[in-house]
Amino acid sequence: MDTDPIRDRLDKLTRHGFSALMDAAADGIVVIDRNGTVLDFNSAAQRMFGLAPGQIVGRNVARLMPEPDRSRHDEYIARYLRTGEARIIGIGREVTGQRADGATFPMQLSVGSAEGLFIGIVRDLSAQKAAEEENQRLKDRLVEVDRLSLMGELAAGLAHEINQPLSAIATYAQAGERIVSDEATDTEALRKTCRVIAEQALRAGRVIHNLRNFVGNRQVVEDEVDFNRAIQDVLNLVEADATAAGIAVHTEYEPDLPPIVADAIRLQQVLLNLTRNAVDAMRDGPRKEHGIRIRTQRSGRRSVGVEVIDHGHGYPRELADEMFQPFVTTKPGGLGVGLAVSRRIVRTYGGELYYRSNPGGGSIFGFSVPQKRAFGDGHHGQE
Amino acid sequence: MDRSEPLIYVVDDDAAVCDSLTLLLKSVKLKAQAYRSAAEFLEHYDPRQHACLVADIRMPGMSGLELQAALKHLGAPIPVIFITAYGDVPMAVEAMKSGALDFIEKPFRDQDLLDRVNQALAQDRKRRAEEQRVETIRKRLATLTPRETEVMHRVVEGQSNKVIAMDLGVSQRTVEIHRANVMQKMGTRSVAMLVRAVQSVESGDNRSNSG
Repeated sequence: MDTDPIRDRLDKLTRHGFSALMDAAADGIVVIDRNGTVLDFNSAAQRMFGLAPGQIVGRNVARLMPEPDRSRHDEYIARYLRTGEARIIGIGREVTGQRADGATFPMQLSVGSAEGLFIGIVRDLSAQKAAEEENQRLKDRLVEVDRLSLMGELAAGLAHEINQPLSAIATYAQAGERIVSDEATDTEALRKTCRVIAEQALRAGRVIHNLRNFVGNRQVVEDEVDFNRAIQDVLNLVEADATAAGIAVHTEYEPDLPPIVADAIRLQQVLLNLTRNAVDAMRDGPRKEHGIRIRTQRSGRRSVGVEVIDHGHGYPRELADEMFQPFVTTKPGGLGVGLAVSRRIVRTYGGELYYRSNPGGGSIFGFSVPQKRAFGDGHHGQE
Repeated sequence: MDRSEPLIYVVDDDAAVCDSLTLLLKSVKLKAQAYRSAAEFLEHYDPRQHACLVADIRMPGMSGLELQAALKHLGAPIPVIFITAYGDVPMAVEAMKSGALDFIEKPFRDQDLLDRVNQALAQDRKRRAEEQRVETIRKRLATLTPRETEVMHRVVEGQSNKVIAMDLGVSQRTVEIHRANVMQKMGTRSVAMLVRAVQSVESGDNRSNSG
């Protein structure tokens, strides 16, 4: 046989301007035969893979991909030819390509088959992927910024909360010294004084411990969370803030809530954002003596939730949607990310953050989270 | 209960702060009574008790400043020492302007607090002695007949017996008798003493009217 039928068909295509079309395309175009041998490789593909036509035409297309695809590619073609079962052909999917220098990159690959040839169209996704990752990273960073700025805002209250036991310790110790100096030393009074000094030192330690837990650099840890317990653990941070503003915090825990799968610190961050706002809304208001109420509850059959109820200034109806947008704030000097970040966190766990006005004046912010994550049970789920 | 024995009222929402302060005061043989809120204190407060008040300036519910205003409203001139946390200084200054005796920052040296407490008790004691004195004068004034009262006012204004006698249309001798009765009933030996006595009652009246 001196005429190759495939070659003939390709020549026919070429005569119809195929070559011009190839080089005008923005996407990389690679034509291979059923053995995987590269027959044509357009300019966009040359730039993408860093290969001149001479380096790839006539060779196996497998060198454009990393392992394990590289060793298996011949097999992929063979299976398709044998079974007609398409994995990519006519579907397109995201795969990994490898450039001449060995660097790999994400690419969108669509393959058409015609005239016994395969025509692959590839688009480099690295820039798009990088932008998505950057976007994700910035959003994650915003959550961190919010967490740290919350700590900054809580600092005054925390200083107060640590100062209280320190003050008590100093006074107890000084009283103890006087008791010892007294001729009729009462050892029982002294013993009691030592005990309360220790208790107060531990109390200061707990505040610092909870603070460090909340502030420290950390990985997201998702686990079964006892909702009530998670709230109790940050309650002294909440109370520190509220007490410093002369506002009491009342809690109502619904007993026996089912655990949820989440990162406890993130949920606590949402709670702190909500209580922080409540304190600010009431700080200079006339109904401070009503305090702030934190209430956990079952919502629906398989969800648990919490509401933070304040008696502050409330928000006008038209602000109700806008306030969840980032950088929207009514507070002078506020960053305006608290509610936006909180909503993002709550949505991560398949829940929703909401606002409604308090019939008794003020605001109610709350959220509920499904007991199991909406897209699966947390272990087999894919995001 | 003996109301002349000094009592220190302690008001702080923090249980440990209350308890430690009570213990410290007890260790120097001072009686203390602690309350966890301003409202609870006001319920038990006895204005007749020789006392001073040591109160936290920041508390949920009624704050220290609001408590001070409430006491003022009641006309209760109990000396107040505020204990403040770090950063509360502007609030403490405001409290001083409203008449607080002093403020002390937490944590504090025991002697600093005890000095202020003793100072506050001395102030209260002095005020009560003064009140006692005015009360005595008031009682004495009440024993004067209308005529004697009239004569007394004129004497205090510096009028001579002759002028008083002419104004009242009585003899100078009669004025002299009234005047001697006034001096005797009021327990004063000179016009200067009588003037001071009457003035202290008047200024006491002004205080309670403006309080």
